[in-house]
Amino acid sequence: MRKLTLLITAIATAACAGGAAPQSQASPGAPIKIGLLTSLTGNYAPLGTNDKLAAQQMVDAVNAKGGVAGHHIDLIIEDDQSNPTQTIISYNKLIDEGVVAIEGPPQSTAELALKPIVGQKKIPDVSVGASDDQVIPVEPYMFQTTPLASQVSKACLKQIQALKFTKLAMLTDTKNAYAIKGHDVTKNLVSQFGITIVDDESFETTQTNFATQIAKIVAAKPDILLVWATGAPPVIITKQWGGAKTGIPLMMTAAEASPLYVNPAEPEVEGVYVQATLGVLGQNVPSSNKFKKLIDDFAQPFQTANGTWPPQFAWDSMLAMTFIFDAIKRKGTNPDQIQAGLESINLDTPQGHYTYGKDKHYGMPDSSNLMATVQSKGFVPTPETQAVLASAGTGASTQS
Amino acid sequence: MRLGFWLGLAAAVGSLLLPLLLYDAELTIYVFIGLSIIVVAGLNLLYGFAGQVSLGQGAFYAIGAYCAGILARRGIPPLAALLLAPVLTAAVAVVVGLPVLRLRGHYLAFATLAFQLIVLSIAGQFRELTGGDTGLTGIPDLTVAGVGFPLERRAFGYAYLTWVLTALALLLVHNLVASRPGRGLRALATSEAAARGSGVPVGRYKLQVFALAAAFAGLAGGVYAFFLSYIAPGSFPILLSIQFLVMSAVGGVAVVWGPVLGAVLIYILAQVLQTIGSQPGMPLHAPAELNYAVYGLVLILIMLLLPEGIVPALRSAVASGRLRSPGGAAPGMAAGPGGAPVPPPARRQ
Repeated sequence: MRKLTLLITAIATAACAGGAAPQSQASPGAPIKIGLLTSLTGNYAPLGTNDKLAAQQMVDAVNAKGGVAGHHIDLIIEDDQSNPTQTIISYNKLIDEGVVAIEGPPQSTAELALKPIVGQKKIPDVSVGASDDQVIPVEPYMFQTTPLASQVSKACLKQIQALKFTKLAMLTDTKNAYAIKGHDVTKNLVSQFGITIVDDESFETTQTNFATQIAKIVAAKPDILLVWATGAPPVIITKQWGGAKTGIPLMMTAAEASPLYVNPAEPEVEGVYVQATLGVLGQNVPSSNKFKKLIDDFAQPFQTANGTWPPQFAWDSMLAMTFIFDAIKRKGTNPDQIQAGLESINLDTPQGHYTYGKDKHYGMPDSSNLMATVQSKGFVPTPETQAVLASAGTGASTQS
Repeated sequence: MRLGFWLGLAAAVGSLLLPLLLYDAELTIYVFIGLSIIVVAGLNLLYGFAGQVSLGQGAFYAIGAYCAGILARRGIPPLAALLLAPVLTAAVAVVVGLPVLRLRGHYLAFATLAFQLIVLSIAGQFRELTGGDTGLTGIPDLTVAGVGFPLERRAFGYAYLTWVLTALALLLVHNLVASRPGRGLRALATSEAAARGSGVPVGRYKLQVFALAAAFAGLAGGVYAFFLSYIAPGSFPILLSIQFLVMSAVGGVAVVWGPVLGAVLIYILAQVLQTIGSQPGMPLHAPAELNYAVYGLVLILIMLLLPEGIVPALRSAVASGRLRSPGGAAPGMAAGPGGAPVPPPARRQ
């Protein structure tokens, strides 16, 4: 009995004695650990692999120049397996490793699972997922580099309006927070653009045959089909849509601005509209554009190393590392200082000029949300986008 | 005293002290292992002892999580919500079990699998109630009379809560299988006709053990919901149910300690492979190869070399004299409570 009492006392003492380790400033020259929480396996591996390539390139580049503010950067990578439960385990592993900031995860559903925990742990997290709910309402330690789903939606609707289309069909992955948010926002916005939704179909991420949805969409006779999805389904949809020879244009969102979508979807993908950001269309940006040099500085080494122009998720990851490095340089190395640095981001980037604030933890300018079509396996800006790219890059963070 | 008793005591004390040595990430894994043990202990009753195959325990895990999460979000005290989770899950299991348990073997397995698909679909569609496919956020923390675990020691608190619930679940299974209904369950696993002829109320026992296994899963799901504060259909994929079955098979069916060893080994194996695969410098294809190919290969080897599971194999080794234990069961037979030999579960075609 006495031993049992001692045991219980020991456990109770340990329970009460713990506490968050005090945040300390890294001593001059000491390495800093930054976490990368990404999907290297599972449905979202195509996103995560590009996150990893970009983050590693950024860290290697900065270390080759002596580190950030004299600190060598150790990149600690954890695979979330595209699963919310594993996301929490992997996130806690990074915290235990002593990281001072984290990039990721890339899937917005996992990011939502993480949001309350980020608030508890108070380690800044720069998300590369793209659901408005990640950063609205603001969680002080969570930031987002990607466009909001609502920004993507507006870019798509503007293009549809420019094409003088009025009848829209949508096909949405109901298991993906980004897709659902984009779908919902689009439904609310269409009337502002003089567009009517004539068919609204849905599917789940694991679905591999879309014949039923395609038949219903074709029967509704839309002017264009907008797909809200991420990962493998858009490839299959494109192949089956092309195979059905509907003659109806297809539009994809920023999640498909990647060779990982285009290459397997050839040849049916030719002519598909894809929402793309400034960096993705960087090869078409004129040298007079003020962001061109920033784009090339990242894209050229990436292309040399990986044989492809950086896709959307590589740019998202590149920005996350850029912001974390900038916050460390300006404010310091402990998590609270990095959080303060992130809240005061005011920076030209390859994706336009970003500003964050206490009440605004996202910042991609609307002018960086552009449109392209797939031609010869590449992304070619639409005429409307070409006009924006030629405007010398005056884009500022305008989203409110 | 039997060797098994001392090993069990050592495992209990060791696992009780373990959280004192663990960091948050390891405590998180500890909690998930504990929750898996609870689910697999219930599955073990259903599959191992009563011979009823279920590929849908993930559905009951999800139902428990959603019950606890929804109730707590709607103002029910979190502890009451947690206690209601297994009760409501068991109630659902009774309703589902009445028609489904008329099936046997593979048919029952497919029916339970289909049930999970239905549950996930419902959870994804009723956005007002369940949060839909993007999930239910803002689940409050578990509190008793307004007092919860200190924020900085939260994982530690959940680790001990899980330990207590796991211990209770295993104790319940241990006592149940030694009781008259437990003998009845084992009898119906061998032959329903013979069991019925011997006076075992086959239908009632099957339904009761189905509901009890669901209640175990529902309880674990309730803790999961409070621990993560977030649940979504994506948290309960079909693979989760299969993983529970694999844990049961690897640890050893029809043995009380089988779920413990099975859950610990499978969970830790997955985490080790995940950690190796995501090391800096590893090629991009390494995580997939380790998580799928190596994981699968290890499972195949375990099932080839130890087809009855690890705990029965260890007991066979003890009984055959490679290790010495006076109370062990005969080779090829799992030991039941008190060392009584238990036949392996009936193999149904």
